[in-house]
Parts: sequence; structure tokens; C-alpha cells
Amino acid sequence: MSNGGTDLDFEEYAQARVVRLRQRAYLLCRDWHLAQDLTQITLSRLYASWRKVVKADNIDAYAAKVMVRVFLDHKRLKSSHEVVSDTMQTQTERVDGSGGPELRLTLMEALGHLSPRARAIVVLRYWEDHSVDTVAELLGVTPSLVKTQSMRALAELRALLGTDLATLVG
Amino acid sequence: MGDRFRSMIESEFAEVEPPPIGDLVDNAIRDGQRLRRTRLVQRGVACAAAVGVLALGLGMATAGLGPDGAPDGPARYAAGGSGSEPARPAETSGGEPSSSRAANPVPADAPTMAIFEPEPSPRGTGSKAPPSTPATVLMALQTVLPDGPTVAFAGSRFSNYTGVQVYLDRGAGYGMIRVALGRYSTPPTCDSSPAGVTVDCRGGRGAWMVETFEIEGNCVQRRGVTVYRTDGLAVQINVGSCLVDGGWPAPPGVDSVDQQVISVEEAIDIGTSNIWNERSLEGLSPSAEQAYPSLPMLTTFNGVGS
Repeated sequence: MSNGGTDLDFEEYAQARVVRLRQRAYLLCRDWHLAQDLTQITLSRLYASWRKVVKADNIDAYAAKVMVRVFLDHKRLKSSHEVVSDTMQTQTERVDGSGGPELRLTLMEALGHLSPRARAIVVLRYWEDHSVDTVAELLGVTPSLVKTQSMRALAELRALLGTDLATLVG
Repeated sequence: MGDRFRSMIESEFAEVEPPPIGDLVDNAIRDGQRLRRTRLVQRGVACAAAVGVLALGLGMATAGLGPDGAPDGPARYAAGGSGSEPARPAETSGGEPSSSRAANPVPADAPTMAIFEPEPSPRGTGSKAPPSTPATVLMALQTVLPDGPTVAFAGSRFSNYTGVQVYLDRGAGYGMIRVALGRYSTPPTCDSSPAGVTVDCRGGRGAWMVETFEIEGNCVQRRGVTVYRTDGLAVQINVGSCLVDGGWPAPPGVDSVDQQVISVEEAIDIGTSNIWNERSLEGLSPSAEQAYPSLPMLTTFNGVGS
């Protein structure tokens, strides 16, 4: 991909990244329609500044920064509509190796129980594999805050997933 | 840790079937183009304001502004006569005026579809103070309207919403568009429509609910769309089939009366645009107040007011 500054270059970049961007958005918001919107907003902002964006060292990191900030802004505005719960409301029925139904929480569902910023940190750190410093820069917070929130988020995931955490942490 | 985390998430993604991506990239490009246009407008307005301040300082710029405060108004009206004289509506070949234009073309008992009724709200949505001034809503609207000259800017401000009016010409004559913006407190339902109003509701497009309506007996609100956004803002786009005489210069050319200047789908596009969020509106506000410092104010707007 040339990543020049033309509309064609943008379209090529967007088509190549749109699935991955939407997956990240879904991990952040846990709603496919909102994920679609977050992805669209991110791409539209990238498009509007494309000539500047292509000069950046890492376009993907820039896109991540835009998306996470749009997501956190959205959550701030929507905070009055959102109900925070410390109990499991739903569990996913899956089939285990023996063929019997097994009720358990998926990792994605567990992510949904983290605070928006903690979720963003976990997604950027462990799904995107960014360093602590990069995550701190993307979120506009200090590296120590990223470390602290990562630890807390993992502890919360551990509590939510129970025995499944053994699989998660290996 | 990261590898295990990723592989678990990958396997969970493999088990779900996400909705199709569809035109997401095309829509993003379209929104990005609008965003670029907005930025250009902001830059243009800032430049015009700077030039205006300079000209005022030299004592030379008092004669150029139209009564609606629109920066390009006087030049447009000049095509129909002198800059200070409102142009008359054109006549058809039979000599009859092509428009239905009156001071108030809507009968007092005509059905209406107010975005928020005066309290208590029969539509059950409740309401709060509007987030923006008429000037800001007008500037935001200008960034998402289809191409074409616009005239007859006006605004209105009530306790629970802000309204603006604009006439747009896409080549077939001017048509009236009125937009109202407010905040809603509780999610709306689609089970109550006023008498004489045909309502249809749908979801999607990033909105809590998209409500389309038709009112045969109300040419100001002949068709319309109310978008209840997920961020708590509600945007109503009203597409008229008549023009209203007011304190603004009459537009030149042929008025559009039998066909609406934008379709319902285009009105939905406008209502679901990302320009209608508080951050974007805040960003537009300073330049909007400079661009439209003295909008004529309507005392009644889509059935609200007196």
C-alpha cells in the first residue's frame, strides 16, 4: 500500500483496515451498530485530515487514537443512559467438548463489565499489543495510570471469568 | 498473556456473525468530505470576519450586510434587482405566480408534529434546554445540505428546542426546510402520533429511533424526519411544500410548491449526520455567531409559540 495523500490511497487504506477497525470498535463498545458508527466516524476523521495523517509515522496508531477518543467521548455523553452493574445479567450458552451445554461468561462479555477506559486500555494493550507508553500516549494519560488500570482490569477479569482465567493467562 | 488474550478473542469473533459492513467506507468518505467542507466554511468565515473587522475599522463596510446577516446574501439578491430591493417571485408562463407563499399558509387548526410540545409533553419524551443557538444550528445545517443556493434564513428559540429555517434551490426552485434541535430526557416511543399525522418509525443509522412523518394539511411540515440520536439529542428535519413570507428578502426565481426540495431519505441523511453532536456544535458556535449575528426570529415554529 502506497499510503499517499490521495482519496484513492485513503480508500485503499480504509478497505484494508475496516474489518479490523470494526472489531476493535466492537471490543470497546460491545454493540455492532455502535461499532459501525465508531468505525465510520474514525474513518471520516481520518479522511478529513488524510494529507496530514499520511505524514504521521504510524497511521494505525493515529486511527486508534481517534477511535478511542471518540468512544470515550461518546461514553461520557451517554453516561446518564448507562447502567453499571456488578452482577452478571447474561451468560452465554456454549457447548463444551463433551457435547453438554455449559454456561459460562465469554472474555468479550467480561470486557463489557470493565469501565470504558479500563476496557480501552485492555484492548489496546492485549488485543492491539501496544506498549504501556504507546497506550498512555493514545489515551492522553500517564504510563503509571495505564499500568495501574491494567492490573485492576485483569483482576476484575479474573474475578469475572473464574476458572476460565487459567486459559487466559496460561 | 497477549497471545492468549488475542487467540481467545479471535475464537470468540469466529463464533459470532457481525452485520455486513455495507457502505461503511463510502459513508465515511462522504462524512469526511462534509467535515472538510465544514472546516473550509469555518476558515472562510474566520477570514471574512477578519476582513470585516478591518473594513469596519476603515469605516467602509456598513453597507454590505443583508438583513439576515448572511455573508453572501446581498450578492445573490443583486441578480433579481438592486441589492437592497427584495426580488419578486417569478411568474409562470400563464402569468400566475408559481408559489403558494403567504404570511401564514398553515391554518390555525392544522395538525402539527412538534419535536417537543410545551410541557407537559404528550409524546412522553420530556425535554431539556436546547444545546445550541439558531446561528450554530444554521451553520451546522449548511454543512450537510445538498448543494444549491440558500436564502431566507431565520431562527427561533424556545425553552426546549432551537429552530432554523432555510430555503434551498437545487435547480427546480426554492423549497423550505426547517430544522429543530433539542435534547430528550427519556427514550421516545413510537406509539403516539397526533391526529392527521402519518408516522413511521425505524431504528438503525446510529440513532435510538428515526421517525418519519407526513402531514397532508400542513404545508410547512408536509414531510419530515425526527432523529432521536443515541447521545440524547433529537433533530427534526421538516420539508415544506410552500414558502412563508417573513422578515427576510423573497428569493428570486421559481418557488417550489408541488415537490419537496429534499427527499425523506435525504432528510434522514441530514438528521443522522455526525454534525449534530454537542462537540461539533460547540466548535461551530464562535464562527456561526459571527456569520449570522442578526437572524430574524420566528415567534411560531411548527406549531409551537404564539
